[in-house]
Amino acid sequence: MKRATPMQIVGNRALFLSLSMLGILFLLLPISMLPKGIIWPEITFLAAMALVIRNPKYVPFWLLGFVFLASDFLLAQPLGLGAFIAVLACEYLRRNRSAFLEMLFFGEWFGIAVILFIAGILRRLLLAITLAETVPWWAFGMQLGLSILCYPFVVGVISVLFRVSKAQETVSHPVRPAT
Amino acid sequence: MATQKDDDVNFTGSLARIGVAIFLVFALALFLLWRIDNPRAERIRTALIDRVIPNMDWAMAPVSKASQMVKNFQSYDRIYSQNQELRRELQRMKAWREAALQLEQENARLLDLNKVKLSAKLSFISGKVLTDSGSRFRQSAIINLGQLDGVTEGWAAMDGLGLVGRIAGVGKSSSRVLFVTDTSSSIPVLIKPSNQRAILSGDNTLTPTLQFIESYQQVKPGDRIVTSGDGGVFPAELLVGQVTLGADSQFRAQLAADFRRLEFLRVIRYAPTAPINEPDRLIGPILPDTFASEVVE
Repeated sequence: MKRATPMQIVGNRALFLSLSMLGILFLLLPISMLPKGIIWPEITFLAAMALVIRNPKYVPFWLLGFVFLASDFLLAQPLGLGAFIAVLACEYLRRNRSAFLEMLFFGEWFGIAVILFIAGILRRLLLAITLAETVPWWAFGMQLGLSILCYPFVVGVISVLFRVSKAQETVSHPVRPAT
Repeated sequence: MATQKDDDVNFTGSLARIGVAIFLVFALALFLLWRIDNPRAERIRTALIDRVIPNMDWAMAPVSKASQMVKNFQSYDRIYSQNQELRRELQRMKAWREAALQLEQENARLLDLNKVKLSAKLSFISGKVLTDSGSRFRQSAIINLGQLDGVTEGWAAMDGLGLVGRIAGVGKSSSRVLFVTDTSSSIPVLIKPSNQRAILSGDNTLTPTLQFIESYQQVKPGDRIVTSGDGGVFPAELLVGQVTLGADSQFRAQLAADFRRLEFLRVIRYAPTAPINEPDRLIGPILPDTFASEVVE
Protein backbone atom coordinates (compact mmCIF):
# COMPACT_ATOMS: atom_id res chain seq x y z
CA MET A 1 0.00 0.00 0.00
CA LYS A 2 1.58 3.21 -1.16
CA ARG A 3 0.89 6.28 0.86
CA ALA A 4 1.28 9.79 -0.50
CA THR A 5 4.13 11.72 1.07
CA PRO A 6 3.29 15.09 2.67
CA MET A 7 5.08 16.82 -0.18
CA GLN A 8 2.90 15.00 -2.70
CA ILE A 9 -0.23 15.93 -0.79
CA VAL A 10 0.66 19.62 -0.66
CA GLY A 11 1.76 19.61 -4.29
CA ASN A 12 -1.42 17.96 -5.49
CA ARG A 13 -3.62 20.27 -3.43
CA ALA A 14 -1.85 23.22 -5.04
CA LEU A 15 -2.34 21.56 -8.43
CA PHE A 16 -6.06 21.13 -7.82
CA LEU A 17 -6.38 24.73 -6.67
CA SER A 18 -4.52 26.14 -9.65
CA LEU A 19 -6.39 23.95 -12.15
CA SER A 20 -9.76 25.02 -10.81
CA MET A 21 -8.72 28.68 -10.82
CA LEU A 22 -7.60 28.21 -14.42
CA GLY A 23 -11.05 26.82 -15.16
CA ILE A 24 -12.72 29.91 -13.70
CA LEU A 25 -10.34 32.14 -15.67
CA PHE A 26 -11.20 30.26 -18.86
CA LEU A 27 -14.91 30.76 -18.27
CA LEU A 28 -14.33 34.47 -17.59
CA LEU A 29 -12.31 35.16 -20.74
CA PRO A 30 -14.17 37.60 -22.99
CA ILE A 31 -13.67 35.50 -26.11
CA SER A 32 -17.22 35.62 -27.38
CA MET A 33 -20.17 37.63 -26.16
CA LEU A 34 -22.63 35.66 -28.24
CA PRO A 35 -25.21 33.64 -26.34
CA LYS A 36 -23.68 30.26 -25.75
CA GLY A 37 -25.37 27.36 -27.46
CA ILE A 38 -23.58 24.75 -25.38
CA ILE A 39 -23.98 24.65 -21.63
CA TRP A 40 -20.57 23.73 -20.23
CA PRO A 41 -20.42 20.68 -17.95
CA GLU A 42 -19.29 21.13 -14.37
CA ILE A 43 -15.71 19.96 -14.86
CA THR A 44 -14.39 21.11 -11.48
CA PHE A 45 -17.18 19.30 -9.66
CA LEU A 46 -16.47 16.11 -11.64
CA ALA A 47 -12.74 16.37 -10.96
CA ALA A 48 -13.39 16.89 -7.25
CA MET A 49 -15.60 13.80 -7.08
CA ALA A 50 -13.11 11.66 -9.02
CA LEU A 51 -10.30 12.78 -6.69
CA VAL A 52 -12.34 12.18 -3.53
CA ILE A 53 -12.82 8.56 -4.60
CA ARG A 54 -9.20 8.07 -5.60
CA ASN A 55 -7.32 10.00 -2.96
CA PRO A 56 -9.41 12.04 -0.55
CA LYS A 57 -6.33 13.60 1.03
CA TYR A 58 -5.75 15.68 -2.09
CA VAL A 59 -9.09 17.44 -1.78
CA PRO A 60 -9.85 18.33 1.85
CA PHE A 61 -13.25 19.92 2.46
CA TRP A 62 -11.83 23.39 3.06
CA LEU A 63 -10.10 23.38 -0.30
CA LEU A 64 -13.31 22.29 -2.02
CA GLY A 65 -15.26 24.90 -0.08
CA PHE A 66 -12.86 27.64 -1.10
CA VAL A 67 -12.85 26.66 -4.78
CA PHE A 68 -16.62 26.37 -5.07
CA LEU A 69 -17.28 29.53 -3.08
CA ALA A 70 -14.88 31.39 -5.35
CA SER A 71 -16.66 30.10 -8.44
CA ASP A 72 -20.04 31.05 -6.94
CA PHE A 73 -18.81 34.59 -6.36
CA LEU A 74 -16.94 35.12 -9.61
CA LEU A 75 -19.29 33.39 -12.04
CA ALA A 76 -22.49 35.25 -11.12
CA GLN A 77 -24.15 32.23 -9.55
CA PRO A 78 -26.38 32.09 -6.47
CA LEU A 79 -23.99 32.73 -3.59
CA GLY A 80 -23.15 29.70 -1.46
CA LEU A 81 -25.56 27.33 -3.19
CA GLY A 82 -23.00 25.75 -5.52
CA ALA A 83 -20.51 25.39 -2.66
CA PHE A 84 -23.16 23.86 -0.40
CA ILE A 85 -24.18 21.23 -2.93
CA ALA A 86 -20.66 20.41 -4.13
CA VAL A 87 -19.25 20.00 -0.62
CA LEU A 88 -22.28 17.97 0.45
CA ALA A 89 -21.88 15.61 -2.52
CA CYS A 90 -18.12 15.26 -2.07
CA GLU A 91 -18.43 14.59 1.66
CA TYR A 92 -21.09 11.97 0.96
CA LEU A 93 -18.64 10.33 -1.45
CA ARG A 94 -15.85 10.54 1.13
CA ARG A 95 -17.97 8.68 3.69
CA ASN A 96 -18.97 6.00 1.17
CA ARG A 97 -15.64 5.90 -0.54
CA SER A 98 -14.92 2.23 0.06
CA ALA A 99 -18.07 1.20 -1.80
CA PHE A 100 -17.03 3.24 -4.83
CA LEU A 101 -13.47 1.87 -4.68
CA GLU A 102 -14.75 -1.69 -4.90
CA MET A 103 -16.93 -0.95 -7.93
CA LEU A 104 -15.89 -1.43 -11.53
CA PHE A 105 -15.67 1.77 -13.50
CA PHE A 106 -19.15 1.44 -14.97
CA GLY A 107 -20.66 1.08 -11.53
CA GLU A 108 -18.79 4.16 -10.37
CA TRP A 109 -19.93 6.07 -13.44
CA PHE A 110 -23.54 5.14 -12.74
CA GLY A 111 -23.17 6.19 -9.11
CA ILE A 112 -21.70 9.54 -10.14
CA ALA A 113 -24.54 10.03 -12.63
CA VAL A 114 -27.07 9.47 -9.86
CA ILE A 115 -25.25 11.90 -7.57
CA LEU A 116 -25.11 14.52 -10.34
CA PHE A 117 -28.82 14.11 -10.96
CA ILE A 118 -29.69 14.41 -7.27
CA ALA A 119 -27.38 17.42 -6.91
CA GLY A 120 -29.06 19.11 -9.87
CA ILE A 121 -32.54 18.42 -8.54
CA LEU A 122 -31.52 19.62 -5.06
CA ARG A 123 -30.23 22.87 -6.57
CA ARG A 124 -33.47 23.40 -8.48
CA LEU A 125 -35.50 22.52 -5.42
CA LEU A 126 -33.65 24.98 -3.17
CA LEU A 127 -34.00 27.70 -5.79
CA ALA A 128 -37.69 26.92 -6.26
CA ILE A 129 -38.39 26.90 -2.51
CA THR A 130 -36.82 30.34 -2.15
CA LEU A 131 -38.72 31.54 -5.25
CA ALA A 132 -35.49 32.28 -7.09
CA GLU A 133 -35.09 32.02 -10.82
CA THR A 134 -34.23 28.52 -12.06
CA VAL A 135 -32.53 27.64 -15.34
CA PRO A 136 -34.76 26.27 -18.11
CA TRP A 137 -35.19 22.49 -18.22
CA TRP A 138 -33.40 22.03 -21.54
CA ALA A 139 -30.29 23.74 -20.12
CA PHE A 140 -30.53 21.61 -17.00
CA GLY A 141 -30.81 18.42 -19.06
CA MET A 142 -28.00 19.41 -21.40
CA GLN A 143 -25.64 20.22 -18.57
CA LEU A 144 -26.48 17.02 -16.73
CA GLY A 145 -26.03 14.90 -19.86
CA LEU A 146 -22.74 16.54 -20.84
CA SER A 147 -21.42 16.27 -17.28
CA ILE A 148 -22.20 12.56 -17.16
CA LEU A 149 -20.62 12.01 -20.58
CA CYS A 150 -17.50 13.93 -19.55
CA TYR A 151 -16.85 11.94 -16.39
CA PRO A 152 -14.64 9.21 -17.99
CA PHE A 153 -12.48 11.85 -19.68
CA VAL A 154 -12.13 13.79 -16.45
CA VAL A 155 -11.12 10.59 -14.66
CA GLY A 156 -8.56 9.87 -17.37
CA VAL A 157 -7.00 13.33 -17.14
CA ILE A 158 -7.10 13.30 -13.34
CA SER A 159 -5.33 9.96 -13.05
CA VAL A 160 -2.53 11.18 -15.31
CA LEU A 161 -2.12 14.62 -13.71
CA PHE A 162 -2.42 13.56 -10.07
CA ARG A 163 -1.04 10.04 -10.55
CA VAL A 164 -3.93 8.44 -8.75
CA SER A 165 -5.75 5.25 -9.52
CA LYS A 166 -8.18 3.08 -7.70
CA ALA A 167 -5.74 0.15 -7.73
CA GLN A 168 -3.23 2.11 -5.65
CA GLU A 169 -5.70 2.53 -2.88
CA THR A 170 -6.28 -0.93 -1.48
CA VAL A 171 -9.09 -0.93 0.97
CA SER A 172 -8.54 -2.63 4.29
CA HIS A 173 -11.09 -5.36 4.05
CA PRO A 174 -11.56 -7.74 6.95
CA VAL A 175 -12.30 -10.72 4.70
CA ARG A 176 -9.47 -10.27 2.29
CA PRO A 177 -6.05 -11.43 3.54
CA ALA A 178 -3.45 -8.72 3.59
CA THR A 179 -0.91 -9.07 0.83
CA MET B 1 0.67 0.49 12.76
CA ALA B 2 -2.91 -0.03 11.81
CA THR B 3 -4.22 1.11 15.19
CA GLN B 4 -2.01 4.18 15.13
CA LYS B 5 -3.25 5.12 11.68
CA ASP B 6 -6.82 4.55 12.69
CA ASP B 7 -6.49 6.82 15.72
CA ASP B 8 -4.94 9.44 13.53
CA VAL B 9 -7.72 9.14 10.98
CA ASN B 10 -10.43 9.21 13.61
CA PHE B 11 -9.03 12.29 15.30
CA THR B 12 -8.71 14.34 12.12
CA GLY B 13 -11.90 12.72 10.88
CA SER B 14 -14.01 14.04 13.73
CA LEU B 15 -12.40 17.46 13.42
CA ALA B 16 -13.09 17.45 9.70
CA ARG B 17 -16.66 16.37 10.31
CA ILE B 18 -17.25 19.40 12.53
CA GLY B 19 -15.55 21.59 9.94
CA VAL B 20 -17.73 20.22 7.16
CA ALA B 21 -20.87 20.77 9.20
CA ILE B 22 -19.84 24.36 9.97
CA PHE B 23 -19.03 24.98 6.33
CA LEU B 24 -22.34 23.57 5.11
CA VAL B 25 -24.27 25.72 7.59
CA PHE B 26 -22.23 28.74 6.50
CA ALA B 27 -22.86 28.10 2.80
CA LEU B 28 -26.57 27.62 3.35
CA ALA B 29 -26.70 30.80 5.45
CA LEU B 30 -24.90 32.66 2.68
CA PHE B 31 -27.44 31.35 0.18
CA LEU B 32 -30.32 32.48 2.38
CA LEU B 33 -28.68 35.89 2.83
CA TRP B 34 -28.34 36.12 -0.95
CA ARG B 35 -32.02 35.30 -1.27
CA ILE B 36 -33.38 37.45 1.55
CA ASP B 37 -31.17 40.51 1.33
CA ASN B 38 -30.19 40.31 -2.31
CA PRO B 39 -28.84 43.87 -2.74
CA ARG B 40 -26.50 43.48 0.21
CA ALA B 41 -25.24 40.07 -0.96
CA GLU B 42 -24.73 41.39 -4.48
CA ARG B 43 -22.80 44.32 -3.04
CA ILE B 44 -20.49 41.86 -1.31
CA ARG B 45 -20.07 40.06 -4.62
CA THR B 46 -19.32 43.21 -6.61
CA ALA B 47 -16.83 44.33 -3.96
CA LEU B 48 -15.02 41.00 -4.31
CA ILE B 49 -15.11 41.06 -8.13
CA ASP B 50 -13.85 44.63 -7.97
CA ARG B 51 -10.82 43.43 -6.03
CA VAL B 52 -10.08 40.40 -8.17
CA ILE B 53 -10.96 41.03 -11.80
CA PRO B 54 -9.07 44.25 -12.64
CA ASN B 55 -5.97 42.60 -11.19
CA MET B 56 -6.36 39.61 -13.49
CA ASP B 57 -5.79 41.73 -16.57
CA TRP B 58 -2.27 40.41 -17.01
CA ALA B 59 -3.59 36.86 -17.16
CA MET B 60 -6.45 37.71 -19.48
CA ALA B 61 -4.49 39.88 -21.91
CA PRO B 62 -2.45 37.21 -23.73
CA VAL B 63 -5.37 34.86 -24.30
CA SER B 64 -7.75 37.63 -25.39
CA LYS B 65 -5.10 38.98 -27.77
CA ALA B 66 -4.49 35.53 -29.20
CA SER B 67 -8.17 34.93 -29.84
CA GLN B 68 -8.44 38.35 -31.49
CA MET B 69 -5.48 37.51 -33.72
CA VAL B 70 -7.16 34.30 -34.82
CA LYS B 71 -10.30 36.24 -35.64
CA ASN B 72 -8.27 38.82 -37.57
CA PHE B 73 -6.56 36.12 -39.59
CA GLN B 74 -9.91 34.68 -40.47
CA SER B 75 -11.02 38.05 -41.77
CA TYR B 76 -7.77 38.55 -43.80
CA ASP B 77 -8.76 35.42 -45.58
CA ARG B 78 -11.63 37.11 -47.37
CA ILE B 79 -10.29 40.64 -47.37
CA TYR B 80 -10.84 41.27 -51.08
CA SER B 81 -14.53 40.47 -51.10
CA GLN B 82 -14.94 42.43 -47.88
CA ASN B 83 -13.27 45.44 -49.47
CA GLN B 84 -15.58 45.33 -52.47
CA GLU B 85 -18.58 45.05 -50.19
CA LEU B 86 -17.41 48.00 -48.10
CA ARG B 87 -16.94 50.19 -51.20
CA ARG B 88 -20.47 49.51 -52.35
CA GLU B 89 -21.80 50.15 -48.87
CA LEU B 90 -19.84 53.41 -48.60
CA GLN B 91 -21.33 54.62 -51.87
CA ARG B 92 -24.82 54.02 -50.53
CA MET B 93 -23.95 55.60 -47.18
CA LYS B 94 -22.78 58.83 -48.82
CA ALA B 95 -26.20 59.27 -50.31
CA TRP B 96 -27.78 58.61 -46.92
CA ARG B 97 -25.42 61.05 -45.22
CA GLU B 98 -26.46 63.78 -47.60
CA ALA B 99 -30.11 63.04 -46.94
CA ALA B 100 -29.54 63.01 -43.19
CA LEU B 101 -27.75 66.35 -43.23
CA GLN B 102 -30.55 67.97 -45.17
CA LEU B 103 -33.15 66.48 -42.84
CA GLU B 104 -31.24 67.63 -39.78
CA GLN B 105 -31.09 71.18 -41.01
CA GLU B 106 -34.76 71.15 -41.92
CA ASN B 107 -35.63 69.67 -38.55
CA ALA B 108 -33.60 72.32 -36.73
CA ARG B 109 -35.37 75.07 -38.68
CA LEU B 110 -38.80 73.66 -37.91
CA LEU B 111 -37.99 73.18 -34.24
CA ASP B 112 -36.79 76.75 -34.09
CA LEU B 113 -39.96 78.02 -35.77
CA ASN B 114 -42.10 76.17 -33.25
CA LYS B 115 -39.93 77.21 -30.27
CA VAL B 116 -39.58 73.60 -29.11
CA LYS B 117 -37.55 73.18 -25.95
CA LEU B 118 -35.24 70.23 -26.40
CA SER B 119 -34.28 67.97 -23.53
CA ALA B 120 -30.67 67.98 -22.47
CA LYS B 121 -28.37 65.93 -24.66
CA LEU B 122 -27.27 62.57 -23.36
CA SER B 123 -23.59 62.16 -22.68
CA PHE B 124 -21.72 58.92 -22.31
CA ILE B 125 -18.58 57.31 -20.93
CA SER B 126 -16.77 54.54 -22.76
CA GLY B 127 -15.35 51.50 -21.03
CA LYS B 128 -13.50 48.36 -21.94
CA VAL B 129 -15.00 44.88 -21.56
CA LEU B 130 -12.91 43.04 -18.98
CA THR B 131 -14.55 39.64 -18.76
CA ASP B 132 -17.41 37.50 -19.80
CA SER B 133 -20.02 36.63 -17.16
CA GLY B 134 -18.43 33.20 -16.81
CA SER B 135 -21.76 31.77 -15.87
CA ARG B 136 -23.18 29.06 -18.05
CA PHE B 137 -26.64 30.56 -18.07
CA ARG B 138 -26.08 34.28 -17.67
CA GLN B 139 -25.40 36.74 -20.48
CA SER B 140 -23.39 39.57 -19.01
CA ALA B 141 -19.96 41.17 -18.98
CA ILE B 142 -17.83 43.16 -16.58
CA ILE B 143 -16.50 46.53 -17.75
CA ASN B 144 -13.82 48.75 -16.26
CA LEU B 145 -16.09 51.61 -15.21
CA GLY B 146 -17.44 51.92 -11.69
CA GLN B 147 -18.50 54.28 -8.95
CA LEU B 148 -15.31 56.28 -9.45
CA ASP B 149 -16.53 57.09 -12.96
CA GLY B 150 -19.98 57.99 -11.68
CA VAL B 151 -21.70 54.91 -13.07
CA THR B 152 -25.07 54.19 -11.49
CA GLU B 153 -27.18 51.07 -11.48
CA GLY B 154 -29.69 50.90 -14.33
CA TRP B 155 -27.86 53.01 -16.88
CA ALA B 156 -27.98 51.83 -20.47
CA ALA B 157 -24.92 50.37 -22.18
CA MET B 158 -24.53 50.54 -25.95
CA ASP B 159 -21.92 49.71 -28.49
CA GLY B 160 -21.41 52.38 -31.15
CA LEU B 161 -24.87 51.86 -32.58
CA GLY B 162 -27.38 49.87 -30.59
CA LEU B 163 -28.41 48.96 -27.09
CA VAL B 164 -26.39 46.16 -25.49
CA GLY B 165 -27.75 45.98 -21.97
CA ARG B 166 -27.97 47.76 -18.66
CA ILE B 167 -25.73 48.22 -15.66
CA ALA B 168 -26.57 45.69 -12.95
CA GLY B 169 -24.13 45.84 -10.07
CA VAL B 170 -21.55 48.58 -9.61
CA GLY B 171 -18.21 48.24 -7.86
CA LYS B 172 -15.57 50.89 -7.23
CA SER B 173 -13.82 50.46 -10.55
CA SER B 174 -15.81 47.78 -12.33
CA SER B 175 -19.44 47.09 -13.04
CA ARG B 176 -21.57 44.38 -14.57
CA VAL B 177 -23.54 44.87 -17.76
CA LEU B 178 -26.55 42.57 -18.07
CA PHE B 179 -27.11 41.95 -21.78
CA VAL B 180 -30.53 42.23 -23.39
CA THR B 181 -30.05 38.60 -24.45
CA ASP B 182 -30.12 37.40 -20.83
CA THR B 183 -33.27 35.58 -19.77
CA SER B 184 -33.86 37.96 -16.85
CA SER B 185 -33.64 41.09 -18.99
CA SER B 186 -36.87 42.77 -20.07
CA ILE B 187 -36.93 46.28 -21.44
CA PRO B 188 -39.88 48.46 -22.51
CA VAL B 189 -39.51 49.34 -26.19
CA LEU B 190 -41.39 51.19 -28.90
CA ILE B 191 -41.81 49.78 -32.42
CA LYS B 192 -41.35 52.83 -34.52
CA PRO B 193 -43.66 53.74 -37.36
CA SER B 194 -46.73 52.30 -35.63
CA ASN B 195 -45.69 53.37 -32.10
CA GLN B 196 -46.61 50.00 -30.65
CA ARG B 197 -45.35 49.39 -27.16
CA ALA B 198 -43.75 46.05 -26.34
CA ILE B 199 -41.40 44.37 -23.90
CA LEU B 200 -38.07 43.14 -25.22
CA SER B 201 -37.24 40.06 -23.20
CA GLY B 202 -34.11 37.98 -23.68
CA ASP B 203 -34.19 34.23 -24.08
CA ASN B 204 -30.52 33.28 -24.41
CA THR B 205 -30.52 33.73 -28.17
CA LEU B 206 -29.11 36.55 -30.27
CA THR B 207 -32.65 37.65 -31.18
CA PRO B 208 -34.65 38.53 -28.03
CA THR B 209 -38.41 38.17 -28.22
CA LEU B 210 -40.91 41.04 -28.39
CA GLN B 211 -43.75 40.36 -26.00
CA PHE B 212 -47.03 42.08 -25.10
CA ILE B 213 -47.34 43.89 -28.42
CA GLU B 214 -50.66 45.73 -28.37
CA SER B 215 -51.79 44.94 -31.90
CA TYR B 216 -49.85 42.46 -33.94
CA GLN B 217 -51.40 43.59 -37.22
CA GLN B 218 -49.58 46.90 -37.12
CA VAL B 219 -46.11 45.40 -36.67
CA LYS B 220 -44.12 44.35 -39.72
CA PRO B 221 -40.70 42.77 -39.99
CA GLY B 222 -38.20 45.54 -40.69
CA ASP B 223 -39.77 48.06 -38.33
CA ARG B 224 -37.33 49.95 -36.14
CA ILE B 225 -37.25 49.26 -32.40
CA VAL B 226 -36.17 51.94 -29.92
CA THR B 227 -36.36 52.13 -26.15
CA SER B 228 -39.58 53.76 -24.97
CA GLY B 229 -38.28 55.28 -21.75
CA ASP B 230 -41.25 53.87 -19.83
CA GLY B 231 -40.46 53.02 -16.26
CA GLY B 232 -37.91 55.80 -16.11
CA VAL B 233 -34.88 53.52 -16.15
CA PHE B 234 -33.69 54.12 -19.70
CA PRO B 235 -33.76 57.28 -21.75
CA ALA B 236 -36.19 57.10 -24.65
CA GLU B 237 -35.22 56.70 -28.31
CA LEU B 238 -32.11 54.57 -27.95
CA LEU B 239 -31.81 52.34 -31.00
CA VAL B 240 -32.36 48.64 -30.26
CA GLY B 241 -32.70 47.06 -33.70
CA GLN B 242 -35.25 45.82 -36.21
CA VAL B 243 -38.26 43.57 -35.99
CA THR B 244 -37.86 40.12 -37.52
CA LEU B 245 -40.22 37.20 -37.64
CA GLY B 246 -38.57 34.21 -35.95
CA ALA B 247 -38.80 30.61 -37.09
CA ASP B 248 -41.37 30.07 -34.33
CA SER B 249 -43.54 32.82 -35.97
CA GLN B 250 -42.92 35.11 -33.03
CA PHE B 251 -41.79 38.70 -33.40
CA ARG B 252 -38.15 39.06 -32.42
CA ALA B 253 -35.58 41.84 -32.42
CA GLN B 254 -32.61 41.77 -34.74
CA LEU B 255 -30.20 43.71 -32.52
CA ALA B 256 -28.33 46.66 -33.98
CA ALA B 257 -25.44 46.10 -31.59
CA ASP B 258 -22.77 43.74 -32.89
CA PHE B 259 -22.34 41.14 -30.16
CA ARG B 260 -19.51 39.50 -32.08
CA ARG B 261 -17.26 42.50 -31.56
CA LEU B 262 -17.94 43.80 -28.09
CA GLU B 263 -14.66 45.21 -26.90
CA PHE B 264 -15.76 48.63 -25.77
CA LEU B 265 -19.11 49.75 -24.40
CA ARG B 266 -20.69 53.16 -24.08
CA VAL B 267 -22.52 53.81 -20.84
CA ILE B 268 -25.21 56.47 -21.28
CA ARG B 269 -25.39 58.96 -18.41
CA TYR B 270 -29.01 59.46 -17.55
CA ALA B 271 -30.86 61.06 -14.68
CA PRO B 272 -34.60 60.54 -15.08
CA THR B 273 -36.73 63.64 -14.71
CA ALA B 274 -38.65 63.90 -11.46
CA PRO B 275 -42.15 62.45 -11.77
CA ILE B 276 -44.99 64.95 -11.66
CA ASN B 277 -47.45 63.87 -8.99
CA GLU B 278 -49.22 67.08 -8.00
CA PRO B 279 -50.52 68.99 -10.99
CA ASP B 280 -51.37 72.16 -9.09
CA ARG B 281 -47.77 72.72 -8.14
CA LEU B 282 -46.90 73.12 -11.78
CA ILE B 283 -48.75 76.39 -12.22
CA GLY B 284 -47.49 79.47 -10.47
CA PRO B 285 -44.78 79.83 -7.86
CA ILE B 286 -44.63 77.58 -4.84
CA LEU B 287 -46.38 79.46 -2.07
CA PRO B 288 -45.42 79.42 1.60
CA ASP B 289 -47.79 77.18 3.57
CA THR B 290 -49.46 79.92 5.66
CA PHE B 291 -50.08 82.06 2.63
CA ALA B 292 -51.38 79.12 0.65
CA SER B 293 -53.95 78.28 3.33
CA GLU B 294 -55.18 81.91 3.35
CA VAL B 295 -55.58 81.82 -0.39
CA VAL B 296 -57.62 78.63 -0.17
CA GLU B 297 -59.95 80.20 2.38
